[in-house]
Formats: sequence, structure tokens, C-alpha cells
Amino acid sequence: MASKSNLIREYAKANGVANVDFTTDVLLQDDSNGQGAYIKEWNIEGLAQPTDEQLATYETVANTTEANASVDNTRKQAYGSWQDQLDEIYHNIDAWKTRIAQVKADNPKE
Amino acid sequence: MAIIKLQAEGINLADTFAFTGTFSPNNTPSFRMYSSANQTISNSTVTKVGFNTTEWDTNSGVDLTNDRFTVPSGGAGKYYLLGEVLVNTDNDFRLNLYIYKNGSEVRMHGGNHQEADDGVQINAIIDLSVGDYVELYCWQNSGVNKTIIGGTQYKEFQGFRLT
Repeated sequence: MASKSNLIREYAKANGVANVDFTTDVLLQDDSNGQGAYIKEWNIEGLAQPTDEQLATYETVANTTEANASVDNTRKQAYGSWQDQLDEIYHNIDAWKTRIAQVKADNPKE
Repeated sequence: MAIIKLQAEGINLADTFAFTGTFSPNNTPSFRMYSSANQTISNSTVTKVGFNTTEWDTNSGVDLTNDRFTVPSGGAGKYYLLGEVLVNTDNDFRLNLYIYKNGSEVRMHGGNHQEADDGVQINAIIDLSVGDYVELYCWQNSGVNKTIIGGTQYKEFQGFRLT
């Protein structure tokens, strides 16, 4: 099940809002009481706060976004720090390219 | 030096003061709670940090059911509070901690999480009245769910009354 933040991001995107800042535009909160996350504040002008039913229609696309974000995280760890990568590039840029391509191939996006 | 002498002569800063008594500050109420359980923090969602163990709780202010400390009768004052969580994965994302007072954010501290076992800690001095309650919340923006690690040393919330 996609997280509420990704459902809201997809809802906003589908309605012409490319980016959502979850520290100012929308504040989500989970009081750890078994009720799950809820919208504490909705501050996107010109876009109505969605109902849970509306958000549920974005489940599939939000799941894909979430899966790809997970792949991004895995890739980042495999890439290593940018300092180490610069050192690799300096010593052998082709070997670095090969390694990065392999990381991407081993961790494909949906 | 006797108080009577101090009163009669004033304080001479050149004097030597040999303290032989016992200094007994009373910084209670005081509490510490922690959790041995891991907890999932959803992406971009301010989530209350849960606890399952009280290490000490001098005046019975800890409520593990609601993961909060409530100021008991006679305990009003300024409190020093400390909260801490730790995430054990790499990646560059923002990890924030918040102290909530009576359900509203009153303090925030965050940092960029880059290395495995990076933690974040929040320290605050907050004025609390009897019946006020404080809670610890956490937020991260990695794009995916993250787990804060349970443990006696690094998923904790503690505090004591200063004055």
C-alpha cells in the first residue's frame, strides 16, 4: 500500500501541481494510535484537499513511484559517495562507467 | 564561613569558602523512557515515536499507552528534555525530530542523514504546567519508509525539571 505522501504527490501532479513540499504545503501526521497518517494541514492554494476515496484512485501509480524511490535508494548506496566516485573517475573513467551501468542494470526501475 | 559573618561583613571575594555540607538539588519530576522495538516512519509524515519501557519515573508522569510524559501535581516548572532516534541505513535525506506540547509542535531539530547509524537528537528547555504533556515526533523525506531502530541507548525520551 502506497504511503499517503506519495498518494498526495500523485493527486497533486494529476491536478497540475508538480511539487508538494511536505513541510509547508501539506503536513501529514501519524499519532501512532493505529489510525494511520492523516492530513493535519492542507495549504495548496487552488487545489482542494482530497478525500481518502480520491487518493485511493492513485494507488497504482503511487506504488510505482514508491518502488522506484526504493530502487533509487539502493542505487545510491551502491554508487558510493561522490568523493569516492570522483577518485574512480580520475583513475579510470571507463571502469567507473561500467560499474555504474552495472548498478543500474542490477537495480532496474519499473 | 557562617551566614552571620557574611551578613555582618559582606562577601569578601578574596576569602576561601570551604563547603562541607551536602548539596541536594531536587530536579524532580524526572523520567526516561525508551523502546526496544523498531518503528517504521512513513515518508514525509510526522510520526509519534513509541516507547515500551520506563527506566525511571520519579513522579509517575510517564504514560506508555500514549507515549507521553504528563506533568504531575506539584511538578510545574522549566523542564530540560532530550529525545533521540537512529536510522541504520545510508542515503542522503532529512531526518527531523520534534517535541510536541499538548499536541502541538514547540521545538524542532533536524539534520541530513548520510551514513548508516546516523542519529538525530533534540534538546530543549520548555516551560510546563501541571497537566501539560510532551511527546516526541519524527519525520523523514527519503521517499520511502524508514525504520528507526529500537534499543535502550538510541530510541529514547527523557527529561527533568530544572526549576
